[in-house]
Parts: sequence; C-alpha cells; structure tokens
Amino acid sequence: MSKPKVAVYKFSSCDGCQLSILNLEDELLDLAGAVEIAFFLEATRRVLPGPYDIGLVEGSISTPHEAERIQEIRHQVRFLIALGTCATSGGIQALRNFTQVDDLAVIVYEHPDYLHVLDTSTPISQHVKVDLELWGCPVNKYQVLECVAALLQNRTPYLPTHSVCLDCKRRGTVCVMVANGTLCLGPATRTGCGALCPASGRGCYGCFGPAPGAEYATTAHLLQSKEHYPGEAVHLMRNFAGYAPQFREAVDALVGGSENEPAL
Amino acid sequence: MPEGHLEIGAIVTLEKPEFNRLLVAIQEQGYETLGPTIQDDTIQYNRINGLDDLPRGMTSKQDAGYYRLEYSGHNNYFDVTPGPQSWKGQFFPPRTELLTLYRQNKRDWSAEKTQPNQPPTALIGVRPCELAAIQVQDRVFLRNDLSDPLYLSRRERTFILVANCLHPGGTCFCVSMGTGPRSHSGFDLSLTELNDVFLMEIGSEAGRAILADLPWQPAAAFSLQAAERGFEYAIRHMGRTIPDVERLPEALLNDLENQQYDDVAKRCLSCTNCTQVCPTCFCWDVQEVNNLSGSEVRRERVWDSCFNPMYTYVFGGNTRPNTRSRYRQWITHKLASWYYQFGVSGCVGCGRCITWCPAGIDITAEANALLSEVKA
Amino acid sequence: MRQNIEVDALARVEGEGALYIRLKDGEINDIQVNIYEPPRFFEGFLQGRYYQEVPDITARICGICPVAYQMSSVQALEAALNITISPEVRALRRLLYCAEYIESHALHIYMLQAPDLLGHDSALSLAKVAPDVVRQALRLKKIGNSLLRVVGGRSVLPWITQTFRWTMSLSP
Repeated sequence: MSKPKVAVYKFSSCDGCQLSILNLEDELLDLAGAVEIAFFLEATRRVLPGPYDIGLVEGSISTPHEAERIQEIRHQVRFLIALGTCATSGGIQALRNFTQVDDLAVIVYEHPDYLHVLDTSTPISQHVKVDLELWGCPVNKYQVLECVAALLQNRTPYLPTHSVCLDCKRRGTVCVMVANGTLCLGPATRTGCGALCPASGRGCYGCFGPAPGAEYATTAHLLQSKEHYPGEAVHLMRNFAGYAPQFREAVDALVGGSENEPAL
Repeated sequence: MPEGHLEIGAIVTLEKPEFNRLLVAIQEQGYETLGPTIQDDTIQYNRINGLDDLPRGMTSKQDAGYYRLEYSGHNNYFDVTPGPQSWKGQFFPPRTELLTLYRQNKRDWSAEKTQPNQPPTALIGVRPCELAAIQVQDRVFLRNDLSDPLYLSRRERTFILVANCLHPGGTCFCVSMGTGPRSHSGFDLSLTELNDVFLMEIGSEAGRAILADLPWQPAAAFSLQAAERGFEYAIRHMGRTIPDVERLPEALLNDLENQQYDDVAKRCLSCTNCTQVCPTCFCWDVQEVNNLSGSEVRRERVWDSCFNPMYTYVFGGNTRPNTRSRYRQWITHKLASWYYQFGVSGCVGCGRCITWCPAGIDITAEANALLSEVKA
Repeated sequence: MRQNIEVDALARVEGEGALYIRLKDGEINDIQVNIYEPPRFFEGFLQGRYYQEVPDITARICGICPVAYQMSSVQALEAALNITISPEVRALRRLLYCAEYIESHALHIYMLQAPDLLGHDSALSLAKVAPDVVRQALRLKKIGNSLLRVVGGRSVLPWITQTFRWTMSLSP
C-alpha cells in the first residue's frame, strides 16, 4: 500500500499552526516516513499532484481568492482537517466581522482601494465540508500527530473536549478566579493547551475556542460581575475565537440592548 | 524518657519544638513526610522536614467562590484549613499509567502492567474531614469483591497524622456531616494544637512506636479541658450547616423534578471544579495513547467529572444532556444515593466545592433549598 | 529572445508571495513581487482594546516570530505610559527573545534556506542524504523551543507571563 499523501495549506493566518507541525522535532522524521508530504509550501518546494488523502488547512477565509481556492482544495482532498482557531472560528482577524471592514482598512492602509478582501473572516466549515476541526491558537502539535496517527491506524482520534478547569485541577493549578479574582475563560474553553495560562497565574483567554456543552452565557455573566474594567468580559470572549457562534451569542446576550457597547 | 507505658488510645502532650523530632522519627521509619505548605497563594501538600515548613500563623478567608490566605497574628502551625488540594491524589492520582502494550508482530502483543512503586508516605496534618474522605474513598476502591491494586498499595504504605480542627473555615460544615472537628479513629497519630503544646492521641501501633521514643508527657487535665473548649468553639463556628442531613437521601431521591434544579442550572458553569476539589469524587476516564507506528499503546487513567458534558456521552446520545441533569446527578449522588451505594454519605463537609466554585454555588444552600421545597 | 520566470507561490518562506521575472535578451526587463498574504487589520482592531490585551493580539501577527511583535507592542505601551521596567524583567525578555532567535534561526538556516543551497526540495529530502545534519538541526531547534517554553509557556505564540508582568498588575 502506498503511503497516504498529505497536503498542508495556508489561508489567512499567522503560520503558527504550520510551525507547530515543524516543531514536532522528535517525531518529524518519523512522520515524514509514515506519510508522503505532497504539498506543504512552508516546508518543501516539491509539489506532488493531487488528489491528496489528508489535507490540513490553516487559516480563515478572508479574501475572494481564498473563497475560490478552498473550493478547489476540497475537491483535491479526501479528509479535510481545519487546523487551528482561524480555520475553525475565523480567528483574530474575524474581529472585522463585528465592524465595517472599510473602517478598519482606512486605519491601516493609505490606499485601501488596492485591497481585495471579504467583509468577513470566516471558518473553513462555512465554505466547504470539514471532516475534523482541531482548535487552538496555535494547535497542540500532539493533537495534530494524534489525528494523523489515528487516520493511519483507521481509528477515531482521541480528542477530549472538556473545560480548561479540569486540566487545571489535574495538574494541581490553583484557580486564579477564586484565589486571585482574576477573570478566566477556562470554564467555557476547550481543553488542549494543558491549562497554560492559569498555571502561570493569569486567566485563560479562550484561544482553544468554546468547549462543547459549556455554559457560555452563564460564564459571560459571571465574568462581567467580576470585571476590573468595563468591557473586560466581552473582550475576553470576543478575541481569538470570538466569532465562534457560542462565544458570539454569549457576548450578544451580555451587551444586548446596552447603550455602551464596547467598540469590538 | 517519661515514665509509664504508652497505649493505643492514650492522650499525651508533646512540646511544640519536639515536633521536629517527631518528623525525623517518622522519616526514620522510611516514610516521606508530606504536609501543608504555602504555595501559589494557598495551602498545598508538599514535603515537610520541620515546623519551619508549616504555614505558621496563617489562616484562610473562605466563602463561596472566594479564597484568600491571611496572617492571623497568632503563632499556631495548624490553624489554616485546607486549600483546593485534598489527599485524594495521594491514593488516586490525577493521572496514572495503568499498562503499556507492545506489538510483537502482526498478531501478538505483550503487556507491561504498572507496578505499584509508591514510597511509604506519611500524611501530616490530615484534617478530620479529610480522614473521613479517605475512608469514603476506601469504600470505593477497596471492596471485598474488587479492589484497585494501585490504590491498595499506596493506602497500605501510608502513615496518617491527623490535625484536629479548632478554627474552622468559612465554608466548613463537618459538624453537619458528622466528620469533625475531631477524629476518633482511623489515624496513626492525631494532634490538637494548644497554645503551648501539641496534645497527641495514639491511634495505632505504628503511631505508638514512633511516639514512645519521644519526650512525651502525660496530658494535664487543663490541657484536655482546653482542647474540649476548643472543639466546642469549633462546633459553634462552622461556616455552613445542613440541619437535616438524615432527611436528605429520601427527600432528594423522591423529588427529582424539584424547581431548585432549574434555578441552579442557571448559575452552574458545568466546569467540573467542584468535583475535582472534592476529596471523595472518583470519576475517571481511561484513555489509550498510541504512537505513530501503532507499535506501542499506553493506557492511562485520568480524573474525569460527571460535569464534563462528554462524560455521559454514549453512542447515540448523552444520558445527561444538560447542566440541570448534571448538577442533579452530582448532588443526589453525593448526598443521597451514595448512602445506598457505599453505606455512607459522599459528602464530608469540607466545603471545598463551595469555596472553589467560580460561580459560588453552595452545596449547603442548595441542599437546604431542596429540603425546604420538599412536600412534607 | 523573451523568457519569463514565474513562481506562483514561493516555498519555504513565512507568509505568501509570488515572483515574476521577465527577461529580454538575457537581461532582466521586469521584476514583480506579489505578496498576496491577506490583510488582517491588526492596527484597526487594536483600537478600543485595553492595553493589557495588546501583546496577546500582536503576537498573532506572525506565529514564526511572535516574540518580536509582543516585544514591540509592549515597548510601545511602556513608552506611552512612561513605564520603566526592572533589570530582571528586561533580562527575562532578552532570554525569551534569544530563545526565539535560536529556534527561528535553526528553522531558517536548516529547514528553509539550506535545501536551496544544497539542491534539495526540503529538509526532509536533505535528511535522506545527511540525516545527522538534519537531526542536529532539529535538536538545535528543540533547544530554542524548550527555552521558549520555560520562559514563555509554549513554543508557538508564547503566552505572556513574568516578562510582561506589569501588564497584569497595573490596575486602571
């Protein structure tokens, strides 16, 4: 049996998720031996023709060109994995979705008319069928490896979805909300990072996106009641995964009807 | 060496500085000594070698969803009630490797079971509620028909020195649950910290042997009276109470559609914190980790929680699909069905779930609300 | 004689770009570099954000060199707020930055650039003829990442802790 062909693509993103793959220093050569890396521009200029068995897609769709390209890629790829919070929620650049992209463009560019961008930055799943979503800003490289291993071994990958709180307790990290009054999005955020931020004494900022089944609106209200400055809770949720529907709706519930809605 | 013979059940006094020699004596028996220390703005159990390692003069301000360590002004070593950590992890660690499988060829595997290798450990300053919690977990993991070999080996190699409570915290309710403020059995040694001395009670032969070689003194009547007064004070100063504990099992299980569950579901985050700090909660998940080539599989047991939405996911759906159903499961198990399952309450009244709930949900308030709404 | 060199997608670089060279009689007639990396408007959506949130957001400008962006934004904030940092914090930041240098330079030299100079497609194909060199490169890269993890928590997009501690402790 020939080795499965893997393709890695970049859309609107920071390259961090692709780098996470290259950061598998101990496993990279084994991985390259187990699969055929057929398309991965950040790592190799060699491009093998499609179709590909596994496609890892980093980034969100934020330009007309990207919206076309993802359709072509979907036809080339048998199993498509959305890689990271940009690909699964629209990413930090999806903050434009809460305002007018033209207003942002004039702040940054002298000639915004040169730009060809969409009004929104959206997750891959909003454009094509996605077979698996891997959250994280950046993704956990071991989750990437687990997915590839699972596909090679024809089994379901082990990808827990519980809250960050459970990870904090497993590693013996003291709750920053209870012991320090620090706002923390951990109760509503998906596991994957290993509870890094609370372990260093700061609150979770939700970069792994919403934990399925969590209580987003209740968490938002609780955080708002403990704010140190106005808008802190909204900003915490309207961040790297802010366009994820669960966080979006929780923020809407929080600011709904409010006269002083924070800028973003 | 004092005159007289020490017996199990005897109560004697030990000068406070002698506690250092007590620890050395325990260590000389081969035990690693773990006790309360200050770490990350709270109390955590770490290796201790003497009185200097203890949180002297500290106390904690605890309320629903609130914890702060404070300096009390006096000089006691064992005044501060526990932080989020319990001794549970000592016997049932958050992550345990159970076995590793190696693929020999296409068909054959070899298995390597994890062997118990925990060094003998002495738990210093175990609170009466915590000792009760260990005894509750014993009923879960050490059954006549089935016992967990890793738990058993760790439990058997443990020396327990209890510190009775004279200054309960703001979320304590051991009196309601009948587990404190004083332990009566199940320890090797117990201490009650008075202003000038430790009052030591001998609970086992191992405890007797260790204390026998130390300069103990017979307990004076006024020391015993001071301890009694201290316990009376503690009983009167519990931060929380459940007045009708004995009504709970029947009342809760006969009223599963109580409106209070809708109310608490609006506040609960389903975040799992209460179950993780609970010294008796024992939900776990078993996961298997393969390597890339599939030649090696590690099987691990990790703490899990009935508040994890995926905990009850089975093919085709989730048996507890929302926070209301998960909270109801937790409180009815803890305070009611646990009696029928294990013969005791699953709650020891330590108050951790109240303190460490980010939303400040109070099990005593919820239990009392559930009881008051029950039709008589 | 007209001849064109067209590279629609530059490989082994951070970001996205294309290169078009038009030759005429062996002379370069026209060069076009097209950076089609989509704009993400960081300067725009930073407006209205609280200063504590800024370094986390600017880190996402580039996942290969996030520390550069964290550091620049935090220095800008410090200049604006007239904050002087302690020598210890400065040393920690330098350590974090050096960790990124080590990781990023190992990546750049061995995995992105060396294949071109040695006639290979990638470090992976290079590994087939010079496995020891590539293993050494990966080891070097790993050292940088380990240091990033120790100081910054994780290797990609390290999260901000001691090195930017004032942003946590300053109350409005």
